[in-house]
Amino acid sequence: MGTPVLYFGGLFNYTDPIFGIQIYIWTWGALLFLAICAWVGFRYGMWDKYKPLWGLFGAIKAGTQAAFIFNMGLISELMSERDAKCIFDYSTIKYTGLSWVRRWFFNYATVFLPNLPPTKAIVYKFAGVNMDVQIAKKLQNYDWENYSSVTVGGVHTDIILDADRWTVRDSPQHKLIEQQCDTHNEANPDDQIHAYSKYMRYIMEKKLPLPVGVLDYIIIPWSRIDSSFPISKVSSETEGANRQFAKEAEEADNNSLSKYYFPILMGGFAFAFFLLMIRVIIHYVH
Amino acid sequence: MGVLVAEPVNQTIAAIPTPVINAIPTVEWMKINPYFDWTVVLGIPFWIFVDVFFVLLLLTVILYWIFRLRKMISVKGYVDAMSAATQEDVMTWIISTTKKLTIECLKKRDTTLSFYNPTNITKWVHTSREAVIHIGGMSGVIVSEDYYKTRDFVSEIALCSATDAFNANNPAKPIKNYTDYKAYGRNMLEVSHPEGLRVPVYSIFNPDKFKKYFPSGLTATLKGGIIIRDARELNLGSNKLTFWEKVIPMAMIMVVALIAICAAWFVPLTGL
Repeated sequence: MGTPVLYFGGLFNYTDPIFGIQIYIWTWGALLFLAICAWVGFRYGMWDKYKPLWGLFGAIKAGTQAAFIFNMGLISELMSERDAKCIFDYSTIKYTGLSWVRRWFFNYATVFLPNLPPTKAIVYKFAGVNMDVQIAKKLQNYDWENYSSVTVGGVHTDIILDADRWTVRDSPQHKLIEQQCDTHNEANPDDQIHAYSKYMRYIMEKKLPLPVGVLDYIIIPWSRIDSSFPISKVSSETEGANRQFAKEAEEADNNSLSKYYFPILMGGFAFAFFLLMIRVIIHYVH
Repeated sequence: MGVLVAEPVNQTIAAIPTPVINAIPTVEWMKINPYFDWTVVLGIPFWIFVDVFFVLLLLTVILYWIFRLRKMISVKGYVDAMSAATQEDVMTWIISTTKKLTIECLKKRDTTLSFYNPTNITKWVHTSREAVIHIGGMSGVIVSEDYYKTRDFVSEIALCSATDAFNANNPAKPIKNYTDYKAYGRNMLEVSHPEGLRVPVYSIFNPDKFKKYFPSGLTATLKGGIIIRDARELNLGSNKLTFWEKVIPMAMIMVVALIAICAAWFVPLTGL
C-alpha cells in the first residue's frame, strides 16, 4: 500500500458536523444521486413521452423495417415489420428432439434458414433479433412486397391500412386467416402464404375463398373521397387564415422596433456604469 | 473550524500506517482514512479514482439517453405537440418528395397549417374532417410537400383501387390523371359505385401512387406564398401605427439611456 496524502490541501478531507463524514465521500453520494436523477429524468421525463413510437427505436436497433398500421378511423400504431406483415409466429412451433444443451443454444430460425451461420444464430438468439420476416420471405419464395412507403429516421417504414384487425394476434379474423393459410400451405408447399399482402392478393384474385367472419373490402362513402380529392375549389377555404395572417403581419410591423428597447436600455445603463467605474478608478489613482 | 497547522499541504508522508497517518498535518474537522486517502498511483489518492468512477457513471447515463433520444429526432414533433397541447399546435406528419417522413409540430390558423419559423412559407390547408390521424392519444394530420391539402390514406387507397379496376374494364377511356378524374372519372365511378368506393381491408400505402389524382403544380410552398400575398393585400391596417408612433417610444428609451450615461459622466465624486 502506498502512502496517504492530503490532496487539494486536504480540502475534501473536512468532515460534516453531523455525521463526521469527509466531503469526498459526500461527493460520491452527490454524483450517484445526480446519475440516478438523470436516469429517472430522461427515462420518465423524456423517453416515456415517445411511448407510441418506441417501435421506431426498436427497428433502428435491430436494423429492421417498421410499420405504421392504420384502421379506418386513421387510428395508428407503430409496429415491427414482423407484426405488421407476417401471418405466422414461428417461435410458437414445437421443435422436438432437442437435447437440453442444444435447446439452450437453439435458434428456431436455423430450421428455416439453414445457411444462417451458427455463431450468428447464437448471437441473434441471445440478442433477441427476430428473423420471422426472413423466414416468411424464404417460405414464400421471395414473393414479397419489398418497397417501403416512407423512411422515418433512417428506418424503412410501411404505412399499412388494416381495416379488419387482421394484424391483431388475438382477433378472430387473424385466427381464421392463420388456420386457412396453414391448410393452404400444407396442400401447396410450393406456393405458400405467409404474408397478409399475399393473402389479400389471393382473396382479390379469388384464388382463396373468404372465410366467414373475415372482410375483404370496406365501403368508403363519397363524402370522404370528395374531401380528399375535391374537384371544385372552395374560394373561401383560406380566407379566415388570410385575415389572421394579415393581423399578425400588422402587429409584427407595429412592434418592429420594440425588440430593440431592452438592449438599448441595458446597453445604456451598462455603459453608464462603466464610465462611472472608470471615473472612480481615475479619481483614486490621482 | 480549527486552526490550520502551518505545514505544506499535498505532501506525501514517507511511512505507513497509523503513527504516520496521525502525523499528517490536519485541522479539527479534517479526517484521514487509511484506505480512501491511500495513494494508489502518481501520488493520487484512492478517493479521486472513486470520484472519477462516479463522474464517468453520470456521463455514461447522460450520453446513453442523449444518443437514444437523438434517434427519435425525426418524430420529435409528436412530443412538442403533446407538450404544447393548445388548439394551435398540431402534430403533423410531413412526407417529402424523397419519401422521408418526419413528425413536426405546426401552427394552425383557421384552416391553414404553417411552421412556427416565419421564414418557412410552406403552408397546408386542412378542410377534411376525415383526414385526421390518431396515435397515442394525439390527433394530427398527414401532409406532403407536393400537395397543399391534408391527406387521407384510406380515401387515396380506395380511389386508386377503384380506378385500377375501372381502367382494366374500360381501356378505351381510362382515368389516368386528375384532369380525367375531374372531367368524367368522378361521375363514372359514382355511377358504378353509387354507395362509395371499395377499399381492400389490408393495403400497403404507396405515397407516390396517388399523386396522379391530385391537381399538379399545387405544392404546399406555392400555396403558402399565395396565402401570404393575399394576407398582405387585405390591408386590415386600421391599427397601423405611423412612422412617428413607432419611433417615439424608441426615442424615449434612447433618451433614458443617454440620461444615465450623462449622469455617470457628470456626477460629482466629492466625498469618495
